[in-house]
Amino acid sequence: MADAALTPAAPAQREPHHFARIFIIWLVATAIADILIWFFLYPHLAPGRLTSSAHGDQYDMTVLLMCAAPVLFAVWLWFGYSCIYFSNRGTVPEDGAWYERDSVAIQVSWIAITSLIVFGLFVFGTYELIAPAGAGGGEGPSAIWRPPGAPSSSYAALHPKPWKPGSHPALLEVQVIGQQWLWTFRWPQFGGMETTSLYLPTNTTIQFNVTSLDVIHSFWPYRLGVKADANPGVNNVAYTTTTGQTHSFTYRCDELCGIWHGDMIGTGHVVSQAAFYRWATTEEKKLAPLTRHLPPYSLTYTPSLHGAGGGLYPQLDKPTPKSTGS
Amino acid sequence: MSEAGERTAREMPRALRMGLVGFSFAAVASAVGVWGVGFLRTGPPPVAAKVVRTASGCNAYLTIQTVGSIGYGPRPSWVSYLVQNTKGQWVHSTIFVLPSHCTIHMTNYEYDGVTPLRNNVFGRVTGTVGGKEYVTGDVGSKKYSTSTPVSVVDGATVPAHTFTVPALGINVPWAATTASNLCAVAPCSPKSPHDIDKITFKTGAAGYYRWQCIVPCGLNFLDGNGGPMQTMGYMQGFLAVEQS
Ligand SMILES: [Cu+2]
Ligand SMILES: [Cu+2]
Repeated sequence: MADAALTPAAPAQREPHHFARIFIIWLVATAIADILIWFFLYPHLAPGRLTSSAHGDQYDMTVLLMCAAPVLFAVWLWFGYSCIYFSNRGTVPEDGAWYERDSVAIQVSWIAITSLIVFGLFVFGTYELIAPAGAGGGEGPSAIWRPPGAPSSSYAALHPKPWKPGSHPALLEVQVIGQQWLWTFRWPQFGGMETTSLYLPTNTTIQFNVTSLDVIHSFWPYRLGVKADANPGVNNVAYTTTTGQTHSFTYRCDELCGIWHGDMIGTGHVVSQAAFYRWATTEEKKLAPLTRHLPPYSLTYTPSLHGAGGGLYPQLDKPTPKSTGS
Repeated sequence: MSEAGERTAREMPRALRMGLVGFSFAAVASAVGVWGVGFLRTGPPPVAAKVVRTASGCNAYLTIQTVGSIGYGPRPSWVSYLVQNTKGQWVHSTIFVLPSHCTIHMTNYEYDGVTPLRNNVFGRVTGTVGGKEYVTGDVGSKKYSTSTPVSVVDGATVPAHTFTVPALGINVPWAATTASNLCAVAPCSPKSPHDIDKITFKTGAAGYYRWQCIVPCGLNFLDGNGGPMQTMGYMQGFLAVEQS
Protein backbone atom coordinates (compact mmCIF):
# COMPACT_ATOMS: atom_id res chain seq x y z
CA MET A 1 0.00 0.00 0.00
CA ALA A 2 2.72 2.41 0.98
CA ASP A 3 4.44 1.91 -2.33
CA ALA A 4 1.34 2.67 -4.23
CA ALA A 5 0.80 5.79 -2.19
CA LEU A 6 4.36 7.01 -2.73
CA THR A 7 4.13 6.69 -6.49
CA PRO A 8 0.83 8.24 -7.21
CA ALA A 9 1.59 10.18 -10.40
CA ALA A 10 1.48 8.49 -13.77
CA PRO A 11 2.10 4.91 -12.67
CA ALA A 12 2.62 3.92 -16.27
CA GLN A 13 5.83 5.99 -16.51
CA ARG A 14 9.06 4.90 -14.85
CA GLU A 15 9.38 6.77 -11.56
CA PRO A 16 12.60 8.88 -11.38
CA HIS A 17 14.98 8.25 -8.48
CA HIS A 18 13.88 11.17 -6.28
CA PHE A 19 16.36 10.61 -3.50
CA ALA A 20 19.34 10.51 -5.83
CA ARG A 21 18.17 13.71 -7.50
CA ILE A 22 17.70 15.55 -4.23
CA PHE A 23 21.03 14.28 -2.93
CA ILE A 24 22.97 15.45 -5.97
CA ILE A 25 21.35 18.90 -6.00
CA TRP A 26 21.97 19.18 -2.25
CA LEU A 27 25.60 18.12 -2.56
CA VAL A 28 26.37 20.65 -5.27
CA ALA A 29 24.52 23.52 -3.54
CA THR A 30 26.15 22.74 -0.20
CA ALA A 31 29.61 22.54 -1.69
CA ILE A 32 29.18 25.88 -3.45
CA ALA A 33 27.76 27.53 -0.32
CA ASP A 34 30.51 26.22 1.95
CA ILE A 35 33.23 27.28 -0.48
CA LEU A 36 31.70 30.77 -0.69
CA ILE A 37 31.44 30.97 3.11
CA TRP A 38 35.04 29.88 3.65
CA PHE A 39 36.69 32.03 1.02
CA PHE A 40 34.48 35.10 0.85
CA LEU A 41 32.52 35.45 4.10
CA TYR A 42 35.06 34.20 6.66
CA PRO A 43 37.63 37.00 6.24
CA HIS A 44 34.96 39.68 6.65
CA LEU A 45 32.95 38.19 9.47
CA ALA A 46 32.70 40.11 12.77
CA PRO A 47 34.51 40.65 15.11
CA GLY A 48 37.56 40.80 12.81
CA ARG A 49 41.14 39.80 13.46
CA LEU A 50 42.54 42.29 15.96
CA THR A 51 43.34 39.52 18.43
CA SER A 52 43.65 35.77 18.57
CA SER A 53 40.33 35.44 20.36
CA ALA A 54 38.56 37.71 17.87
CA HIS A 55 39.98 35.58 15.07
CA GLY A 56 38.89 32.52 17.04
CA ASP A 57 35.33 33.84 17.22
CA GLN A 58 35.42 34.44 13.49
CA TYR A 59 36.65 30.90 12.83
CA ASP A 60 34.02 29.34 15.10
CA MET A 61 31.24 31.31 13.47
CA THR A 62 32.48 30.20 10.06
CA VAL A 63 32.57 26.53 11.04
CA LEU A 64 29.07 26.76 12.51
CA LEU A 65 27.80 28.45 9.36
CA MET A 66 29.40 25.75 7.21
CA CYS A 67 27.68 23.09 9.31
CA ALA A 68 24.36 24.92 9.22
CA ALA A 69 24.34 25.49 5.47
CA PRO A 70 23.91 21.78 4.54
CA VAL A 71 21.08 21.38 7.05
CA LEU A 72 19.39 24.51 5.77
CA PHE A 73 19.72 23.40 2.15
CA ALA A 74 18.43 19.91 2.94
CA VAL A 75 15.28 21.37 4.51
CA TRP A 76 14.71 23.91 1.75
CA LEU A 77 15.37 21.37 -1.00
CA TRP A 78 13.10 18.76 0.49
CA PHE A 79 10.36 21.33 0.89
CA GLY A 80 10.71 22.71 -2.63
CA TYR A 81 11.06 19.31 -4.23
CA SER A 82 8.01 18.01 -2.42
CA CYS A 83 5.95 20.98 -3.55
CA ILE A 84 6.89 20.27 -7.15
CA TYR A 85 6.86 16.47 -7.35
CA PHE A 86 4.84 15.14 -4.45
CA SER A 87 1.83 17.41 -4.62
CA ASN A 88 -1.61 15.88 -4.47
CA ARG A 89 -2.85 15.23 -7.98
CA GLY A 90 -6.12 13.72 -6.87
CA THR A 91 -4.75 10.23 -6.51
CA VAL A 92 -4.25 10.25 -2.76
CA PRO A 93 -6.68 8.08 -0.81
CA GLU A 94 -9.37 10.04 0.97
CA ASP A 95 -8.13 9.09 4.43
CA GLY A 96 -4.83 10.75 3.55
CA ALA A 97 -2.70 8.03 5.12
CA TRP A 98 0.29 8.86 3.08
CA TYR A 99 3.49 8.40 4.93
CA GLU A 100 5.98 5.71 5.46
CA ARG A 101 5.43 3.72 8.64
CA ASP A 102 8.06 2.05 10.74
CA SER A 103 10.98 2.76 8.42
CA VAL A 104 13.97 1.56 10.41
CA ALA A 105 16.35 3.09 7.91
CA ILE A 106 14.84 6.57 8.29
CA GLN A 107 14.70 6.37 12.08
CA VAL A 108 18.27 5.16 12.41
CA SER A 109 19.69 7.64 9.98
CA TRP A 110 17.74 10.50 11.59
CA ILE A 111 19.06 9.69 15.05
CA ALA A 112 22.56 8.95 13.77
CA ILE A 113 22.90 12.13 11.70
CA THR A 114 21.53 14.51 14.36
CA SER A 115 23.61 12.82 17.09
CA LEU A 116 26.68 13.12 14.94
CA ILE A 117 26.10 16.82 14.31
CA VAL A 118 25.40 17.60 17.96
CA PHE A 119 28.30 15.54 19.27
CA GLY A 120 30.62 16.97 16.64
CA LEU A 121 29.68 20.50 17.67
CA PHE A 122 30.17 19.60 21.33
CA VAL A 123 33.69 18.32 20.68
CA PHE A 124 34.51 21.25 18.42
CA GLY A 125 33.13 23.80 20.89
CA THR A 126 34.94 22.29 23.86
CA TYR A 127 38.21 22.09 21.96
CA GLU A 128 37.89 25.68 20.77
CA LEU A 129 37.15 26.87 24.28
CA ILE A 130 40.20 25.21 25.77
CA ALA A 131 42.87 24.72 23.14
CA PRO A 132 43.54 28.33 22.10
CA ALA A 133 44.16 29.02 25.84
CA GLY A 134 41.73 31.83 26.31
CA ALA A 135 38.65 32.20 24.22
CA GLY A 136 38.47 35.81 25.40
CA GLY A 137 35.86 35.12 28.03
CA GLY A 138 36.39 35.92 31.69
CA GLU A 139 37.74 32.64 33.02
CA GLY A 140 37.64 33.51 36.69
CA PRO A 141 40.40 34.35 39.13
CA SER A 142 42.54 31.27 38.42
CA ALA A 143 42.08 30.10 34.89
CA ILE A 144 42.88 26.42 34.31
CA TRP A 145 44.06 26.95 30.75
CA ARG A 146 46.58 29.70 30.37
CA PRO A 147 48.68 30.89 27.47
CA PRO A 148 52.43 30.33 27.78
CA GLY A 149 54.09 32.89 30.01
CA ALA A 150 50.93 33.67 31.94
CA PRO A 151 51.38 33.99 35.71
CA SER A 152 50.30 30.80 37.43
CA SER A 153 49.51 32.31 40.83
CA SER A 154 48.11 35.54 42.16
CA TYR A 155 51.57 36.29 43.59
CA ALA A 156 53.02 36.02 40.11
CA ALA A 157 50.19 38.14 38.72
CA LEU A 158 50.99 40.82 41.28
CA HIS A 159 54.66 40.82 40.31
CA PRO A 160 54.78 40.48 36.53
CA LYS A 161 58.00 40.63 34.53
CA PRO A 162 58.65 44.05 33.00
CA TRP A 163 57.24 44.60 29.53
CA LYS A 164 59.51 45.89 26.77
CA PRO A 165 59.08 45.83 22.99
CA GLY A 166 60.73 42.83 21.36
CA SER A 167 59.99 39.92 19.09
CA HIS A 168 58.53 37.97 22.00
CA PRO A 169 57.67 40.52 24.64
CA ALA A 170 56.53 39.39 28.07
CA LEU A 171 52.84 39.01 28.69
CA LEU A 172 51.16 42.36 29.34
CA GLU A 173 48.88 42.65 32.35
CA VAL A 174 46.09 45.19 32.13
CA GLN A 175 43.79 45.64 35.07
CA VAL A 176 40.34 46.78 34.03
CA ILE A 177 38.42 48.55 36.80
CA GLY A 178 34.70 49.22 36.44
CA GLN A 179 32.93 51.77 38.56
CA GLN A 180 29.69 53.70 38.17
CA TRP A 181 30.08 54.88 35.37
CA LEU A 182 33.55 54.80 33.95
CA TRP A 183 36.30 52.34 33.10
CA THR A 184 39.88 52.86 34.26
CA PHE A 185 42.98 50.75 33.65
CA ARG A 186 45.93 49.89 35.88
CA TRP A 187 49.32 48.83 34.61
CA PRO A 188 51.41 46.81 37.10
CA GLN A 189 54.32 46.71 34.64
CA PHE A 190 54.37 50.51 34.47
CA GLY A 191 54.63 51.47 38.10
CA GLY A 192 51.02 50.60 38.90
CA MET A 193 49.79 53.71 37.13
CA GLU A 194 46.09 54.08 36.42
CA THR A 195 44.82 55.58 33.19
CA THR A 196 41.48 56.52 31.74
CA SER A 197 42.66 55.59 28.24
CA LEU A 198 43.49 52.14 26.88
CA TYR A 199 46.35 51.35 24.51
CA LEU A 200 47.57 47.85 23.62
CA PRO A 201 50.67 46.73 21.72
CA THR A 202 50.56 44.49 18.64
CA ASN A 203 51.71 40.83 18.78
CA THR A 204 51.47 40.60 22.55
CA THR A 205 49.60 38.26 24.84
CA ILE A 206 47.39 40.33 27.11
CA GLN A 207 46.03 39.32 30.48
CA PHE A 208 43.01 41.41 31.37
CA ASN A 209 42.42 41.40 35.13
CA VAL A 210 38.84 42.60 35.34
CA THR A 211 37.28 43.82 38.58
CA SER A 212 34.78 46.36 39.90
CA LEU A 213 34.70 48.88 42.73
CA ASP A 214 30.95 48.85 43.21
CA VAL A 215 28.26 46.89 41.36
CA ILE A 216 28.66 44.28 38.62
CA HIS A 217 29.83 45.63 35.28
CA SER A 218 30.98 43.72 32.23
CA PHE A 219 34.00 44.67 30.14
CA TRP A 220 33.24 44.16 26.48
CA PRO A 221 35.75 45.22 23.83
CA TYR A 222 33.88 43.44 21.08
CA ARG A 223 36.52 43.71 18.37
CA LEU A 224 39.10 42.09 20.65
CA GLY A 225 36.83 39.07 21.07
CA VAL A 226 36.93 39.67 24.82
CA LYS A 227 34.08 39.85 27.29
CA ALA A 228 34.50 39.52 31.03
CA ASP A 229 32.22 40.38 33.92
CA ALA A 230 33.59 42.90 36.39
CA ASN A 231 32.56 41.78 39.86
CA PRO A 232 33.51 43.60 43.06
CA GLY A 233 36.02 41.55 45.04
CA VAL A 234 36.74 39.17 42.14
CA ASN A 235 39.65 39.16 39.72
CA ASN A 236 38.15 37.87 36.48
CA VAL A 237 40.93 36.96 34.07
CA ALA A 238 40.59 37.05 30.28
CA TYR A 239 43.46 36.28 27.94
CA THR A 240 43.91 37.30 24.35
CA THR A 241 46.81 37.87 21.98
CA THR A 242 46.92 40.83 19.67
CA THR A 243 47.86 40.24 16.05
CA GLY A 244 49.95 42.48 13.81
CA GLN A 245 46.94 44.68 13.00
CA THR A 246 46.71 48.18 14.43
CA HIS A 247 43.25 49.62 14.84
CA SER A 248 40.99 51.29 17.34
CA PHE A 249 38.20 49.42 19.09
CA THR A 250 35.24 50.27 21.26
CA TYR A 251 34.81 48.96 24.78
CA ARG A 252 31.57 49.19 26.64
CA CYS A 253 29.78 47.91 29.71
CA ASP A 254 27.51 44.95 29.06
CA GLU A 255 25.88 44.59 32.45
CA LEU A 256 23.04 46.94 33.34
CA CYS A 257 24.69 48.86 36.17
CA GLY A 258 22.73 52.03 36.79
CA ILE A 259 21.58 55.16 35.08
CA TRP A 260 24.71 55.78 32.98
CA HIS A 261 25.35 52.16 32.08
CA GLY A 262 24.83 53.07 28.43
CA ASP A 263 27.53 55.71 28.65
CA MET A 264 30.26 53.40 30.01
CA ILE A 265 31.83 53.42 26.63
CA GLY A 266 35.27 54.29 25.31
CA THR A 267 37.71 53.85 22.46
CA GLY A 268 40.87 51.79 22.85
CA HIS A 269 43.74 51.47 20.40
CA VAL A 270 45.98 48.64 19.29
CA VAL A 271 49.24 50.33 18.28
CA SER A 272 52.77 49.16 17.42
CA GLN A 273 54.90 47.89 20.30
CA ALA A 274 57.19 50.91 20.08
CA ALA A 275 54.27 53.36 20.08
CA PHE A 276 52.70 51.56 23.02
CA TYR A 277 55.95 51.64 24.99
CA ARG A 278 56.33 55.36 24.31
CA TRP A 279 52.75 56.00 25.45
CA ALA A 280 53.07 53.86 28.58
CA THR A 281 56.39 55.30 29.76
CA THR A 282 55.26 58.88 29.09
CA GLU A 283 52.04 58.32 31.02
CA GLU A 284 53.93 56.65 33.84
CA LYS A 285 56.07 59.74 34.29
CA LYS A 286 53.17 62.15 33.87
CA LEU A 287 50.96 60.25 36.32
CA ALA A 288 53.62 59.71 39.00
CA PRO A 289 52.20 62.44 41.33
CA LEU A 290 48.81 60.72 41.12
CA THR A 291 50.10 57.15 41.39
CA ARG A 292 51.45 57.74 44.88
CA HIS A 293 47.89 58.51 46.02
CA LEU A 294 46.62 55.19 44.66
CA PRO A 295 46.46 52.09 46.83
CA PRO A 296 49.18 49.51 46.06
CA TYR A 297 48.38 47.46 42.98
CA SER A 298 46.10 44.63 44.00
CA LEU A 299 43.99 42.11 42.09
CA THR A 300 40.83 43.29 43.87
CA TYR A 301 39.96 46.25 46.03
CA THR A 302 37.94 45.60 49.14
CA PRO A 303 35.08 47.73 50.38
CA SER A 304 35.39 49.38 53.76
CA LEU A 305 32.93 51.22 55.92
CA HIS A 306 34.65 54.53 55.44
CA GLY A 307 32.81 57.27 53.60
CA ALA A 308 29.19 57.68 52.62
CA GLY A 309 28.75 54.46 50.73
CA GLY A 310 32.09 52.96 51.60
CA GLY A 311 35.26 54.38 50.20
CA LEU A 312 36.54 51.10 48.86
CA TYR A 313 40.12 51.12 50.10
CA PRO A 314 40.68 49.86 53.66
CA GLN A 315 43.71 52.08 54.08
CA LEU A 316 41.33 55.03 53.86
CA ASP A 317 39.79 54.01 57.15
CA LYS A 318 42.47 55.97 58.93
CA PRO A 319 42.80 59.19 56.98
CA THR A 320 46.34 60.43 57.25
CA PRO A 321 46.58 63.86 58.85
CA LYS A 322 48.89 64.92 56.01
CA SER A 323 46.91 65.88 52.95
CA THR A 324 48.42 66.80 49.68
CA GLY A 325 47.65 69.52 47.25
CA SER A 326 50.25 70.18 44.64
CA MET B 1 -43.33 39.76 37.79
CA SER B 2 -41.76 36.87 35.95
CA GLU B 3 -38.08 36.04 36.32
CA ALA B 4 -37.42 37.05 32.75
CA GLY B 5 -39.15 40.35 33.26
CA GLU B 6 -37.07 41.09 36.34
CA ARG B 7 -33.83 40.45 34.45
CA THR B 8 -34.85 42.72 31.63
CA ALA B 9 -35.76 45.45 34.00
CA ARG B 10 -32.33 45.35 35.71
CA GLU B 11 -30.24 45.06 32.55
CA MET B 12 -28.70 48.20 31.14
CA PRO B 13 -29.14 48.87 27.49
CA ARG B 14 -26.22 47.56 25.49
CA ALA B 15 -25.27 51.02 24.21
CA LEU B 16 -24.99 52.33 27.74
CA ARG B 17 -22.83 49.38 28.79
CA MET B 18 -20.52 49.93 25.83
CA GLY B 19 -20.38 53.62 26.57
CA LEU B 20 -19.45 53.03 30.21
CA VAL B 21 -16.74 50.52 29.38
CA GLY B 22 -15.35 52.78 26.68
CA PHE B 23 -15.41 55.76 29.00
CA SER B 24 -13.59 53.87 31.78
CA PHE B 25 -10.89 52.75 29.40
CA ALA B 26 -10.46 56.25 28.04
CA ALA B 27 -10.32 57.69 31.55
CA VAL B 28 -7.62 55.25 32.69
CA ALA B 29 -5.64 55.66 29.47
CA SER B 30 -5.66 59.44 29.64
CA ALA B 31 -4.74 59.41 33.33
CA VAL B 32 -1.73 57.20 32.53
CA GLY B 33 -0.89 59.45 29.60
CA VAL B 34 -1.10 62.64 31.65
CA TRP B 35 1.02 61.08 34.40
CA GLY B 36 3.58 59.81 31.84
CA VAL B 37 3.89 63.15 30.05
CA GLY B 38 4.11 64.88 33.41
CA PHE B 39 6.85 62.47 34.51
CA LEU B 40 8.83 63.01 31.32
CA ARG B 41 8.47 66.77 31.66
CA THR B 42 9.63 66.88 35.26
CA GLY B 43 13.27 67.67 35.32
CA PRO B 44 15.63 70.40 36.20
CA PRO B 45 15.45 73.44 33.90
CA PRO B 46 18.38 74.21 31.62
CA VAL B 47 20.34 77.17 32.97
CA ALA B 48 22.49 79.27 30.67
CA ALA B 49 25.93 80.58 31.56
CA LYS B 50 26.60 84.30 31.20
CA VAL B 51 28.28 84.76 27.82
CA VAL B 52 30.62 87.65 27.03
CA ARG B 53 31.81 88.01 23.46
CA THR B 54 34.68 90.30 22.63
CA ALA B 55 36.99 90.68 19.69
CA SER B 56 39.36 88.25 21.35
CA GLY B 57 36.73 85.53 21.53
CA CYS B 58 34.01 83.92 23.57
CA ASN B 59 34.04 83.73 27.36
CA ALA B 60 31.27 82.30 29.48
CA TYR B 61 30.87 82.45 33.25
CA LEU B 62 29.18 79.68 35.17
CA THR B 63 28.76 79.82 38.93
CA ILE B 64 27.58 76.81 40.87
CA GLN B 65 27.40 75.67 44.47
CA THR B 66 27.47 72.23 46.02
CA VAL B 67 25.58 71.60 49.23
CA GLY B 68 25.52 68.69 51.66
CA SER B 69 21.72 68.77 51.74
CA ILE B 70 19.37 70.73 49.55
CA GLY B 71 17.10 71.39 52.53
CA TYR B 72 13.81 71.74 50.65
CA GLY B 73 11.68 70.01 48.01
CA PRO B 74 10.79 66.33 47.86
CA ARG B 75 14.30 65.16 48.93
CA PRO B 76 15.51 67.71 51.49
CA SER B 77 18.31 65.48 52.79
CA TRP B 78 19.88 64.84 49.40
CA VAL B 79 23.24 66.24 48.46
CA SER B 80 23.00 68.52 45.46
CA TYR B 81 24.37 70.97 42.94
CA LEU B 82 22.80 74.38 42.27
CA VAL B 83 23.56 76.88 39.54
CA GLN B 84 23.23 80.64 39.26
CA ASN B 85 21.21 81.98 36.33
CA THR B 86 22.11 85.17 34.45
CA LYS B 87 19.96 87.19 36.89
CA GLY B 88 22.06 85.92 39.78
CA GLN B 89 19.33 83.66 41.21
CA TRP B 90 20.22 80.17 42.44
CA VAL B 91 18.40 77.42 40.52
CA HIS B 92 18.24 73.77 41.54
CA SER B 93 19.57 72.32 38.30
CA THR B 94 22.46 70.40 36.77
CA ILE B 95 21.76 71.19 33.12
CA PHE B 96 24.19 73.90 32.11
CA VAL B 97 23.78 75.61 28.74
CA LEU B 98 27.13 76.64 27.30
CA PRO B 99 28.17 78.09 23.95
CA SER B 100 30.32 75.93 21.67
CA HIS B 101 33.99 76.80 21.06
CA CYS B 102 34.07 79.04 24.09
CA THR B 103 36.23 79.42 27.19
CA ILE B 104 34.18 78.59 30.26
CA HIS B 105 35.11 80.10 33.60
CA MET B 106 33.46 77.96 36.22
CA THR B 107 33.34 78.79 39.91
CA ASN B 108 32.13 76.31 42.50
CA TYR B 109 31.19 77.40 45.98
CA GLU B 110 31.76 74.18 47.89
CA TYR B 111 29.61 74.14 51.02
CA ASP B 112 29.95 70.40 51.67
CA GLY B 113 32.54 68.54 53.70
CA VAL B 114 34.87 65.73 52.65
CA THR B 115 33.58 62.47 51.20
CA PRO B 116 36.42 60.19 50.10
CA LEU B 117 36.77 59.13 46.51
CA ARG B 118 36.27 55.44 45.87
CA ASN B 119 38.99 55.57 43.25
CA ASN B 120 41.81 58.01 43.87
CA VAL B 121 42.51 58.22 40.15
CA PHE B 122 39.83 60.92 40.14
CA GLY B 123 41.91 62.99 42.53
CA ARG B 124 43.72 64.36 39.49
CA VAL B 125 42.43 67.45 37.69
CA THR B 126 42.11 66.77 33.97
CA GLY B 127 40.59 68.46 30.95
CA THR B 128 40.88 72.00 32.32
CA VAL B 129 43.17 74.73 31.03
CA GLY B 130 46.61 73.89 32.43
CA GLY B 131 45.26 70.76 34.11
CA LYS B 132 44.62 72.75 37.28
CA GLU B 133 41.89 74.05 39.55
CA TYR B 134 42.34 77.13 41.71
CA VAL B 135 41.31 76.73 45.30
CA THR B 136 40.65 79.31 48.00
CA GLY B 137 40.03 77.60 51.33
CA ASP B 138 40.93 74.16 52.64
CA VAL B 139 42.80 71.51 50.73
CA GLY B 140 42.87 68.81 53.37
CA SER B 141 44.84 70.27 56.26
CA LYS B 142 46.30 73.06 54.13
CA LYS B 143 44.54 76.43 54.10
CA TYR B 144 44.82 78.72 51.12
CA SER B 145 43.69 82.30 51.68
CA THR B 146 44.30 83.17 48.05
CA SER B 147 43.44 81.27 44.91
CA THR B 148 46.06 78.50 44.64
CA PRO B 149 46.56 76.09 41.73
CA VAL B 150 46.06 72.42 42.53
CA SER B 151 46.51 69.52 40.10
CA VAL B 152 46.36 66.36 42.23
CA VAL B 153 44.60 65.93 45.56
CA ASP B 154 44.47 63.11 48.07
CA GLY B 155 41.16 61.34 47.49
CA ALA B 156 40.73 60.48 51.15
CA THR B 157 40.97 63.93 52.71
CA VAL B 158 40.27 66.60 50.09
CA PRO B 159 37.29 66.15 47.76
CA ALA B 160 33.67 66.88 48.52
CA HIS B 161 32.39 66.10 45.04
CA THR B 162 33.70 65.98 41.51
CA PHE B 163 32.74 67.49 38.19
CA THR B 164 33.44 64.67 35.75
CA VAL B 165 32.58 64.87 32.05
CA PRO B 166 33.81 61.58 30.55
CA ALA B 167 33.35 62.53 26.89
CA LEU B 168 35.37 65.74 27.32
CA GLY B 169 38.04 64.18 29.54
CA ILE B 170 37.19 66.65 32.32
CA ASN B 171 37.58 65.61 35.94
CA VAL B 172 37.77 68.07 38.81
CA PRO B 173 37.73 67.03 42.45
CA TRP B 174 36.15 70.00 44.25
CA ALA B 175 38.16 70.66 47.41
CA ALA B 176 35.95 70.55 50.49
CA THR B 177 35.77 72.79 53.50
CA THR B 178 36.95 71.05 56.65
CA ALA B 179 34.68 73.13 58.91
CA SER B 180 31.98 71.32 60.84
CA ASN B 181 29.09 73.84 60.99
CA LEU B 182 28.02 73.17 57.41
CA CYS B 183 25.17 74.88 55.60
CA ALA B 184 22.18 72.50 55.47
CA VAL B 185 19.62 74.48 53.47
CA ALA B 186 20.31 75.66 49.95
CA PRO B 187 21.00 78.14 48.53
CA CYS B 188 23.86 78.68 50.94
CA SER B 189 25.44 82.07 51.40
CA PRO B 190 29.17 82.73 51.67
CA LYS B 191 28.62 83.30 55.39
CA SER B 192 28.63 79.52 55.76
CA PRO B 193 31.98 77.75 55.65
CA HIS B 194 33.03 77.01 52.10
CA ASP B 195 35.84 76.56 49.61
CA ILE B 196 35.94 78.44 46.33
CA ASP B 197 37.14 76.19 43.50
CA LYS B 198 37.67 77.71 40.07
CA ILE B 199 38.40 76.07 36.74
CA THR B 200 38.63 77.16 33.14
CA PHE B 201 37.89 74.80 30.30
CA LYS B 202 37.11 75.04 26.61
CA THR B 203 34.01 73.73 24.90
CA GLY B 204 34.35 72.18 21.48
CA ALA B 205 31.61 71.17 19.12
CA ALA B 206 27.96 71.54 20.04
CA GLY B 207 26.41 68.53 21.73
CA TYR B 208 24.89 67.10 24.85
CA TYR B 209 27.56 65.87 27.26
CA ARG B 210 26.62 64.05 30.42
CA TRP B 211 28.48 64.79 33.59
CA GLN B 212 28.45 63.22 37.02
CA CYS B 213 30.01 63.45 40.45
CA ILE B 214 32.17 60.36 40.91
CA VAL B 215 32.39 60.57 44.69
CA PRO B 216 29.98 57.94 46.07
CA CYS B 217 28.14 60.65 47.99
CA GLY B 218 24.62 59.16 48.01
CA LEU B 219 24.47 58.75 51.75
CA ASN B 220 22.49 55.67 52.88
CA PHE B 221 22.25 54.23 49.37
CA LEU B 222 23.85 51.07 47.99
CA ASP B 223 27.59 51.68 47.58
CA GLY B 224 26.78 55.39 48.01
CA ASN B 225 25.76 55.41 44.38
CA GLY B 226 21.95 55.54 44.56
CA GLY B 227 19.53 58.39 45.21
CA PRO B 228 21.09 61.75 44.34
CA MET B 229 23.83 59.97 42.36
CA GLN B 230 21.27 58.60 39.93
CA THR B 231 18.82 61.51 39.79
CA MET B 232 19.02 64.37 37.34
CA GLY B 233 19.39 67.68 39.13
CA TYR B 234 21.41 66.39 42.09
CA MET B 235 24.77 64.71 41.40
CA GLN B 236 24.61 64.35 37.65
CA GLY B 237 23.47 66.36 34.68
CA PHE B 238 24.24 67.57 31.22
CA LEU B 239 26.35 70.20 29.55
CA ALA B 240 24.13 71.42 26.74
CA VAL B 241 26.74 72.89 24.42
CA GLU B 242 24.91 74.97 21.83
CA GLN B 243 26.13 76.24 18.48
CA SER B 244 27.42 79.79 18.83
CU1 LIG C 1 28.68 49.17 33.98
CU1 LIG D 1 28.82 64.04 44.83
